[in-house]
Amino acid sequence: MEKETKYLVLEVHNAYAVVLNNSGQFIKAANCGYKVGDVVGSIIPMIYPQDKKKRKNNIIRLAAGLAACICLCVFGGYEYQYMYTEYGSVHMQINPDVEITLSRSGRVLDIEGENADGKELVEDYEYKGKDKETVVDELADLAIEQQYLTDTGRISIEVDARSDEWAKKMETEISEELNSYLQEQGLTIEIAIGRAEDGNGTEDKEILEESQSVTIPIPGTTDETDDSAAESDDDSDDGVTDYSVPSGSSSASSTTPSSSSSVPVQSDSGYDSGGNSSYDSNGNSSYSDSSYSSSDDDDDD
Amino acid sequence: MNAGHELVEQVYAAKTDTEAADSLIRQYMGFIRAETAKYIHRAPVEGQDEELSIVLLAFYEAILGYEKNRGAFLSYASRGIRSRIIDYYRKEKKHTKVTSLHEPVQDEDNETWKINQLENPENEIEKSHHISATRDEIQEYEKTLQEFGISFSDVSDNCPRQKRTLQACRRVLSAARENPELLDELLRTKKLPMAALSEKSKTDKKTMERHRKYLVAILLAFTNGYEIIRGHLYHLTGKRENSDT
Repeated sequence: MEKETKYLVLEVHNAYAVVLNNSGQFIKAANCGYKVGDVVGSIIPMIYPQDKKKRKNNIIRLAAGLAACICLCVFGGYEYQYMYTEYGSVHMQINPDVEITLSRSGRVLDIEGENADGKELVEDYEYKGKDKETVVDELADLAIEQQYLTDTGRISIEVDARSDEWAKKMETEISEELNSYLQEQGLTIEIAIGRAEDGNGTEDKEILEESQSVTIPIPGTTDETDDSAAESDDDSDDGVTDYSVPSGSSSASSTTPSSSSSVPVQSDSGYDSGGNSSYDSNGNSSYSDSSYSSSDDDDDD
Repeated sequence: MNAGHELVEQVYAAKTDTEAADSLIRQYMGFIRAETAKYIHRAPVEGQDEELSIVLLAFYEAILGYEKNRGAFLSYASRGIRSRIIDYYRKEKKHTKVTSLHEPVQDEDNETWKINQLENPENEIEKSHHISATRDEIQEYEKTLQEFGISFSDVSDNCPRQKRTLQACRRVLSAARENPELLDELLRTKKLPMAALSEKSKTDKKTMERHRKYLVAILLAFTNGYEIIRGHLYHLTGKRENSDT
């Protein structure tokens, strides 16, 4: 066991003493009632100013550190949101149609196909971390590759977002990008802003609010103005006529057993139930309707 | 604030002049005692309250460390005293059950240390002889050093505190002991034979020059007449300390 250090007191002053340790070091220490020649077991050594470590100002360091952290959080949070939070979406219609979700900074966060072809187009397409310009160019490339898009084709771009201004800005940037990119490749493709109106075969059909009806004109029965046309015993007048019963013999094709007065006509096309093309029952039309009036008819039962 | 100015000047003078330092401390003894009273809550008793010794040391440290840009000297000193006392109490807390061997114990006529009482009373006389002899030797040592223009305070200020440097100095000492003619030269010329020592000990001259005063002192201890001191330096000599020289 090592022997404890002993200190030999060499000199005393009122505020300190000089002691000598066993290893030959001369040390200034507190004078705890020492006398020259004393041997002491422990001392309180003096600390030289040059040996003193600079006192760390902890409060300032703490405050500065805290301020830095707060700044980092605030700006970091803002930046994060700017770059990674959804801000709007781009509907890109080449047919295929895709929806590209963007962050405020224009970073692509998600891509989804909006129709079957769209889904196919973007399947296996890596968009992670790319910006919108890169993605629209690459999607255009893919569409060309897969022959959805050809020269003289058309791409529609519409952007949805909270901010109209931002949406417009994105639309402009994207269409400009596509324009220059495709032009570089020697392609002439129209870039339209806003949803595409005319659908191709695969586009959803328009669903109308009100139902419209379509009337199909009967060939050979309407637009002729001379009497001869009024004759119904023309054989070319076939079973399409529900509206009149020919007075002639071609009754085989006639499907109505009775006078055509019983046959309902739903439109106002000018034919009365008797098959007359006149507008009033008096027979004042230009068409000779003598052979058509029911009174003249010989019913073929 | 002329008084303030004067004090600052005194402080700066006391940095390098031991006597000026002593004088300044004596002058401000009242302040020092008042500061001590702050912490022990009563008037300090010299020789009894270790806190007083600590405050004194702290005051001295303040003299050495004071710069004009640190504010008023007394406030600076007060701050230093406070941290010193706090450190002391922190250390003392660890040793509450241990009583200091150097606790002053009132003897019949003399005030002495407890440690002295633990000894066999028959050795009492021998002990006092020993102490007396030690003091004589130290006095002699001091006188010799003065011939070199060095004081104990100077030596302690000059003493290396870094391990590496300390070891370098020990090498120099070993070289001197192995070559006693160098010690003779030291005594004769009152100068360190730098070149020779540097060569023999393979120590950088710059290092030696930086610790010249210390080297003189330690080499001197190994010349004739300092047996007691050498006995104390057993770590250097390898011999155990003898109490019955």
